[in-house]
Amino acid sequence: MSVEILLVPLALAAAHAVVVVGGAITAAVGEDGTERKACVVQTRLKHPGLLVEALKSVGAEAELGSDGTINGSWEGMGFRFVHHEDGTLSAHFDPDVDVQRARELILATDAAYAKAVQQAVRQRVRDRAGELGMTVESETVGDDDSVTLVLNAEG
Amino acid sequence: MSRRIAVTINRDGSIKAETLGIKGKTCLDYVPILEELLDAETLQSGFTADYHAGDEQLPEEATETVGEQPSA
Repeated sequence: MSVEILLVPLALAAAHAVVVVGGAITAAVGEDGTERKACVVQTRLKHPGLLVEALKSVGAEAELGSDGTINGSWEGMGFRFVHHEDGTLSAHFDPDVDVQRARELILATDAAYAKAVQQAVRQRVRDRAGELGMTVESETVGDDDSVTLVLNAEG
Repeated sequence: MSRRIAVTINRDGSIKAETLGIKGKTCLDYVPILEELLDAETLQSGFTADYHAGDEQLPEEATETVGEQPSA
């Protein structure tokens, strides 16, 4: 052993442990000048494409717009994800949304997104280790669903 | 002992990487390589016993945080 490193994939925000649970009712003025209130839930998720896939995997309908926002619905509950300056996406619901259900959607989506990130990183290591002078010596899945790859760096 | 790196990708997306059999300053060369390989940024890093087995006298412990690499 010589150095131990903790990393976070760029598709996830390091500042948020898992997800900020709960929602805050906020008001925003739309382009037409009218004020709209929304229940906003901040997430640690950053990659719109992975988020759309995660939303679909939990049974939601979701579509990525040309402006980078994601609109969709889950069991009749509409939502919209928008980007923040720090790159994270927040979920916006109607102000009278059932917060418990909104929370349920976000937690399920976060878990599905994290699983997708895990698989993406795993595949990236398989694909790119050779380019960086390493070979994948072994690959195991732990009881906690973690994936451990041992790389040989002799090259 | 051959040079190896164990990379554990957790279910929540977080990653832990540990160099094995790489002594001294050489292990630090792998920090940017791992960031590129994993498309990730370093949140924290710490030296372990083999680091001190290198050819230079180093502090007993060192820990770095986001955006910084362990200084050689």
